[in-house]
Amino acid sequence: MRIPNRWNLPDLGLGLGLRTRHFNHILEKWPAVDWFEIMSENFLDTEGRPLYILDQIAERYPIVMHGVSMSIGSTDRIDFEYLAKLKALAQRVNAVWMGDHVCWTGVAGRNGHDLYPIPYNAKTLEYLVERIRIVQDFLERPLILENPSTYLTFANSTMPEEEFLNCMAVDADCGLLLDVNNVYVTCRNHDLDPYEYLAALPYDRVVQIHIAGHTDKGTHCIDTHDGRVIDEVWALYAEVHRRAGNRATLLEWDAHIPPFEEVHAEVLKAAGYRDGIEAARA
Amino acid sequence: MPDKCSELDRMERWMQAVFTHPDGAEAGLRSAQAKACYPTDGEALDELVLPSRNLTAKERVSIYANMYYWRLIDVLADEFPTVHHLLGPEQFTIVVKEYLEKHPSNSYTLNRLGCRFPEFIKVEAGELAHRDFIAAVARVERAMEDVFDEKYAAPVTLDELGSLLQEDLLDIQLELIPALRLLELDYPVNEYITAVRENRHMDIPLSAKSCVAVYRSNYRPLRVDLEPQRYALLSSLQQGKTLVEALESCMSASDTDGPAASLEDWFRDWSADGLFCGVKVISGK
Repeated sequence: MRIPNRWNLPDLGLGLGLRTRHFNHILEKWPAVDWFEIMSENFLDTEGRPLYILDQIAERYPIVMHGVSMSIGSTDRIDFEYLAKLKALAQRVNAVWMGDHVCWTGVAGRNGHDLYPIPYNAKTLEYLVERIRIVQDFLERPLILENPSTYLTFANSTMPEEEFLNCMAVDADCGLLLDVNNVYVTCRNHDLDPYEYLAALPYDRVVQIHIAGHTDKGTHCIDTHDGRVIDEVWALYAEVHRRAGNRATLLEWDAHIPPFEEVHAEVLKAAGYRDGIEAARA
Repeated sequence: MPDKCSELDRMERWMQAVFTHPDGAEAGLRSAQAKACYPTDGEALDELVLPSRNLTAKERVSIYANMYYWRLIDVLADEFPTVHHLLGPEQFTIVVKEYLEKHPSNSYTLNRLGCRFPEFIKVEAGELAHRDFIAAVARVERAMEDVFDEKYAAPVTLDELGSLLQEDLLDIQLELIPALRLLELDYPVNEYITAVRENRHMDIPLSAKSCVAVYRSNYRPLRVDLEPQRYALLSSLQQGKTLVEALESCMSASDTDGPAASLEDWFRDWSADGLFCGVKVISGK
């Protein structure tokens, strides 16, 4: 099955998160990576080396911006100064799209620099949809929001996460970044079936996929981005392709980061699933 | 607060109070801030957060609470490696927790997390051996972070500078790049920082005035010790004084006849390091 996303945003192929450790390798080798995703905040408020490097990389590769501090689910006021900086950076690097997470990161002016969960109920949904629409109007482009890894369940949640995301994406007319590792982690932590989760998503809203490693603590999983993608997550990745067709796919590896070739080799494993599907379709 | 988010707001404030308590989730649940949101304690937690098959509600809340401090401690340990070395991991953790409790992040970027850390060590932190030395080290390490991200200004080349200086233009202002911090310190910390970063042992030096320039050259943060005369000249220029005025400050910082013989070398070095970004001729003087 091939379901195009509602905005016809392109399948960029297989990308990597741009990390400082790999700057020199990229500038020396200009490796055959399809695209890079940047953590937006790392390039705001700097005119130093990160931006100098990014300018060169953006001349040669498509760039997607992925943030961690929009705090779209916070009850604090929307920070338009921050959004203006995001918008300016998006113009500078010609970002193909930009997004963040379905979460909040702080309240009362504070930032915990973590992706905190929100209760999934009608009131939160209404509140979030309104905020997303305001942000999208300001940014003049759809927001591509990622399903977070979560570790707790609120007593006042009244709908499953996948239903909440579905309603949010349709009502706010925003995109989804489907992190299949987060689906795995969240379902493990909440005793849910990840295939039922995937079955409930609106794939015409899914613009991008994340894959990553995590830490399995036995009693629960933590989204640590510190290793290879496990087989169960690859199986979920294959399921997403079965349902939606190819999507721009990005590997996140943020701790204990190995040399560039090793990270690149990990994301290239995704090509097998994509090619397999293409071959079966042919 | 609109009605549709008042409950969410209460929940978020409660979570923030619990997740960020320096003594962990258990203490956070009992804190006044958390109870101001929900007058409940750990026993009634299940009314807000459900258990999973493997974890109690309290254990699930603790996952977020544990991650908060460890993540931010890591960030500050990266930014202040010499302070971390001096305090050791245990005391560094204590000091950072105190710091974050008094100065939690209020920015979208982690780059600003440590901006008050040197002053905190100097004035607010609990009992610390070698407090003033550690605070001086922290100032230099924070300055390195500042110049790393500071605004870019294209440097003036040595030729451009040379031709101007050869003319009768002493009433000029030399503009220094924004990515330059000039620090006057009560300890000679620069060599110690180098030793720690190179894994060499060095005793903590005795108190003595020192001056350090921290700047970005070719996108790399660098730090060098400055003799008092060089410091006086550069800081005068940074304050916007004319070259004449800056040279007078420089002379007064010296016991000798002055730095004339060294001046050419100094300006050549500074220009080679890209410290100058503009020259302004002062008219009407």
